[in-house]
Amino acid sequence: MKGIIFTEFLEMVDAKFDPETTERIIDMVDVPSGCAYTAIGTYDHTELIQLVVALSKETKAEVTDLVRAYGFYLFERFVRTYPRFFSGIRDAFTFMEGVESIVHTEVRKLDEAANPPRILCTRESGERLEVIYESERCLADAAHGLILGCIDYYGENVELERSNLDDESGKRVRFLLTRKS
Amino acid sequence: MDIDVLKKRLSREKIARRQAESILESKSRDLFLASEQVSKSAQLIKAQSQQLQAVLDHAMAAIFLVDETDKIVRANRVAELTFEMSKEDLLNSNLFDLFSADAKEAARKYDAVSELNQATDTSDAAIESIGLRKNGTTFPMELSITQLDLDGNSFTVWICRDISSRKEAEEKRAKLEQELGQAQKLESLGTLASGIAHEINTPVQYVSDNGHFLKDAFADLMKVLTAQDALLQAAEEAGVLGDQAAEVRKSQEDADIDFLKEEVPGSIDQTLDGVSRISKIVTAVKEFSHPGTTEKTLVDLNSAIETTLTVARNEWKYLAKVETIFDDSLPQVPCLPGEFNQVILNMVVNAAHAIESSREGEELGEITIKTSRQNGMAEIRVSDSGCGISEENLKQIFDPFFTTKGVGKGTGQGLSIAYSSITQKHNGTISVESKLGAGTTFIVRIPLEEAAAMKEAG
Repeated sequence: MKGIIFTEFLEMVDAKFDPETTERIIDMVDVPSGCAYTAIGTYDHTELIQLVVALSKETKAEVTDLVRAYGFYLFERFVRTYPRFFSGIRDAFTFMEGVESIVHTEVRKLDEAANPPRILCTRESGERLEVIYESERCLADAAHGLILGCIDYYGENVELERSNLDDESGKRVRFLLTRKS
Repeated sequence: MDIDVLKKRLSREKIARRQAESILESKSRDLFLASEQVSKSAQLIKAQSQQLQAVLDHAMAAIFLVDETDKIVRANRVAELTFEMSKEDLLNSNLFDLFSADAKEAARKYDAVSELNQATDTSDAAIESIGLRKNGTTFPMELSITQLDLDGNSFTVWICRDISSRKEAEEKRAKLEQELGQAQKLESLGTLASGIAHEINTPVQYVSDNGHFLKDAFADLMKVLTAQDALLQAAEEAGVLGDQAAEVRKSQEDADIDFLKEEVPGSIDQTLDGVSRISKIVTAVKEFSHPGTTEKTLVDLNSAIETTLTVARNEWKYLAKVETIFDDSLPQVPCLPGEFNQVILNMVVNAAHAIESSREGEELGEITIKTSRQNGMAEIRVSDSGCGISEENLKQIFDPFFTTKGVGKGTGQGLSIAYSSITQKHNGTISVESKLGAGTTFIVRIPLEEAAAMKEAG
């Protein structure tokens, strides 16, 4: 998993809690990287899971809620860090339709070994979009938070329904977005 | 943040920085290697592209790559030369703008058929069409088409070959074949004429002999008749042999003897004159149509010209008066008689045609043929009072197939053949002086040196 996901996670903990909380959860985990991350590096995604679990223990918040909140936070960070991906796009559906073909393509240009999740979008009608998340990393909650962040960024009134397509692992999840007037 | 937190963070940041530097170094190396690979690939592609362009540019045809909207996306150097357009102009053109208005429709049809044939995997032959240059001139060209699919887009390769030279050569060959056929026909006619002349010569000879015999006999008979008249007059005056004398007188009156005495000599003379002319024509035809020799012989040019004028009389007699001014001291000249006669014939016929085209009313023009000796050369000047030749045409009159005469009247071969015969086979010169509306003089000069040598040898 790309280092930016880790650096942004630690930034979020700093911002949403405090630097001492960050240091405590780092002390709680035993990971090969020692939590010394660089945005352009690549790290085992289980390190992130360990950090989230540690944060959950530290804050008594649900892991699911923390991951989703992180997704929401991450989207805002993406907007600031990669404004070119958002240039000329005026709605959440259009942006999400370009995630696989534009954003993930750019990710692979920077790192051929990168393995981002598959995001399959199907426009069922002008007002409905089906988004399928597929990843061995089982981070559908992060995807959920990212989608919510996207809807919030575009200021749209969109109803989001989520359903697992296999089991409860979160490897393959369907999000159905319905735009409300 | 307390100092311990900051120390931990600093420690992690240092590790992260080293990681980042290591990644950066690795990426830089990868980038360098990739750049090197790209550079090599670019050089290879450039070399291949140059080779391909060289092949295209040295192809003997204009080659176009055309997209689905018929826009030219690539053109080779020959295309620029063929259509006299810059590459920029060509690349902004619709392919069908390079066809003449009449040929556009057929070219589009050929394109459509070619596309269909490609779909059904059948081949199609090249077609001929008419190309249009930038300056508006047209030219014949041969077309062939290949359909291509590049990256999912359809393209057509058009190969256009300028076939102007080939067409010109075909036309010349056809004309030459026609000329050859005509020459063979003329040769056959010449052989036939020679045979007929020979056959006519014998009866003409005995008609002539008999005519002379009759003339002499009638002269003798006239003496007898004169004596008979005197005898008859004496008998009548003496009053003797009255019945016999009356019978003789009556038979003289019945025969209209006075008329016969007066007219018969004239008739015989006219007959002999006619026979003489027949004989002269027959001799001229025989001489003119004599099979050509490949070796030069000494020829009396004045006589040869006279012969040619006789043969060609029908060509000029209703159009011009012919005057000959011959230098009687001109020695015999080494010539190919058949070819020399042909040269003079061509000039006389041209002179007659020139007079005909400028003649008003029934007034006859003038053709003058003058021979003389000029600086070791025999000079023959054939002048006419015809229409003359424009300065522009003067430059081309000895070119093969150049003619200003109407269809069916001139082949453009006469002067060309005359030029080659006089300059190449007789080592002579041929030139022309002309004034538009006043007339033309052709001047043929043949060297005399060989004449002396041949005379000594022979």
